[in-house]
Amino acid sequence: MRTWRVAIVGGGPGGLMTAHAVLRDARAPVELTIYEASERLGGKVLTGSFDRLPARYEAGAAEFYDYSAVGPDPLRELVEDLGLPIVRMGGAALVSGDRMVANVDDIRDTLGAEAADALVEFDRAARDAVGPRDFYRGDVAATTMPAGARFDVALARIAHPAARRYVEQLVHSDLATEPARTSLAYGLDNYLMNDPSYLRLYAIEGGNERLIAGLDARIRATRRLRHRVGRIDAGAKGRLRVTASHAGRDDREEYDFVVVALPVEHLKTIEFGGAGLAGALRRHVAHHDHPAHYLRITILFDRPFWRPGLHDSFCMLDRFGGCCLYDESVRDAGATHGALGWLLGGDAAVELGRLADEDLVAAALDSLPGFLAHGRRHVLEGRVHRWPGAVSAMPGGLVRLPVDRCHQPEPVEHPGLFLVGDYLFDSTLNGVLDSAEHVAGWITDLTATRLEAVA
Amino acid sequence: MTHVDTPTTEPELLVVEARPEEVAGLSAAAIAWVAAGGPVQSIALHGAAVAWSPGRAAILVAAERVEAVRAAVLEFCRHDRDLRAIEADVAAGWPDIEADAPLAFEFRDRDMDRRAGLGERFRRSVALRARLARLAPHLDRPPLHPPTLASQVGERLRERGRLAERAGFLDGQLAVHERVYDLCGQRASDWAIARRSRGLEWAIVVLLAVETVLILVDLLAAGGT
Repeated sequence: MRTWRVAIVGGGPGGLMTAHAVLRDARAPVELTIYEASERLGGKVLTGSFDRLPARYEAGAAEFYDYSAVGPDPLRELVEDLGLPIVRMGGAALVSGDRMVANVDDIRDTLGAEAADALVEFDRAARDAVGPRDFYRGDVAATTMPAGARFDVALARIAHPAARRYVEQLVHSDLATEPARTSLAYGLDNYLMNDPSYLRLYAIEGGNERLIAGLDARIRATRRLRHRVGRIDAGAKGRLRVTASHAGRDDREEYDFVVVALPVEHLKTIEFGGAGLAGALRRHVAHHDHPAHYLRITILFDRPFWRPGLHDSFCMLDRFGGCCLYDESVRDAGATHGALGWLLGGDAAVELGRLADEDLVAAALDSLPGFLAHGRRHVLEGRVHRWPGAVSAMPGGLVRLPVDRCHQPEPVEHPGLFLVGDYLFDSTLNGVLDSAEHVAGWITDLTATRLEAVA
Repeated sequence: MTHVDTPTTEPELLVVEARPEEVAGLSAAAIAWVAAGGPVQSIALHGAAVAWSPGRAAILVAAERVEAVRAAVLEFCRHDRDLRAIEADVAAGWPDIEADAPLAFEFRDRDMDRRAGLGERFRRSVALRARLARLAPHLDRPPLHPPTLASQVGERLRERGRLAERAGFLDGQLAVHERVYDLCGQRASDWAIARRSRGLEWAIVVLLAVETVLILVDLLAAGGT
């Protein structure tokens, strides 16, 4: 029986999820090779650790989205299948100035009754536009919203400036971009995900990177770390040739199928051979090129000095245009230390990302509200992780393309080349799994169909 | 300002009007007061604190939010109390279940006088199921959004009191009760039907025998003539 050769370019969550799904569903022998430019697998799912204490923190993806209350949730099922324990995450508060604004009562007290009414009105309009089922299916933009509508237009309709600023700050770090540079649907999604009726948040106990380790342990494949793929073009007999550089040398191999599971920013660094393929990839990149940026600053403290002032696993700060402040120590049961993680998004992440690490740690400490300013005395160590262009500000593009077309950019001459990415769905790990499952199912069907044809 | 409510059907409730910055300092005393009602659980949330035990509850919150938070705490206490009552009744039914379970497999003549008791216990299980069904929507209802402090306190209390999980356990236990009594009822009914059928069979046998004797007598009489 013929063995199908499959290359996966990118050892991040998309690449590993594709590899896992292809091997799980294969109805014919498959030989897998994973190319990864860096020295580790996992991409944006990165659990870091400090030097001073055996304490962990999330340096990349902070949490996962649980849709299981609304419908089937493949990522939640995968986490369960891998036997990974989870810890629920949640938080409703925005620290505005030195005040906690955690509910409508606080908004009324802090911002005034008119602002509270304006916020409630916006909330009703948002949930009228996108219900939990629409949110789950992710197709509301294509069906009910005006083509090309952007989120800043919806924000401008909030009558009260303080309420508008509150919503902007609440969603800013999740958007990872500015409201004018994202779609109305994506902006509303990021606002509505604060409501547990739409989704719940969770993290993996012991570190989100356990998901990567779990997938890696299940995948039977050749792993080529520190192999940067520079070119993909047509090979012999309809195959695809992958050229990767490693230790100053170029390796060339041919495959029946090649899956490129990279963010758009990295997709631009690969040269695609042949006018048809190069043109298709250029159009694909142009359609999906809406980079969004994260910056993570995590500080280890000798104790969680913020409790009981901060009650949840995270809250929002009104600093840096609106950023998320995670209590990283809630992820580890019984932790005696304290770790706070700042998640900055959008322009603030780009501008501040240019600063040195120590300046960023100082800026983060400066951003603590007055009632937590004494925390400076407890600092042990700070870490910074920059994620420029790591996600999409407008997943799917301003006008969504058909799902098959997004995943197979040039079906005529290069039907064996597929793309996988969170930017094709909703810029989440759930989205990248949907994308990976779609492509894996496609490859499985093709190998089975061609086998039957040969038989 | 402090006042204590002691309604007849609710736990004793201590309400302390306190500004957010005063709450932490007063919590220990409130928890000590609540401890007289049983094991204490407590939450501190966005400038408010609530402690409760099966017999007592204490609320420390700003004056303008007292009424809403008080309503949320009382609602939780009522649901928790109702759930505890169902849990106690289900637990009290287990010895009967163990004694009755053999009848789900085998039913005899000597067991016929237990039929009324089995029926009564089945009705009791169904009544418990009805009480749980009426309570369940309140225990697992979707969170309010945007939240109010009272809705956040109510949700946190329901989470901490594990009301939804406890209702789930009760659902499973009641399913066992219903299954056992359903099977017992079927066995008892089968037995009663079988006994009636046996009587009918004997009646038919007797009638056939009488008919046979009458035919024989008739034949003998005809032979003699």
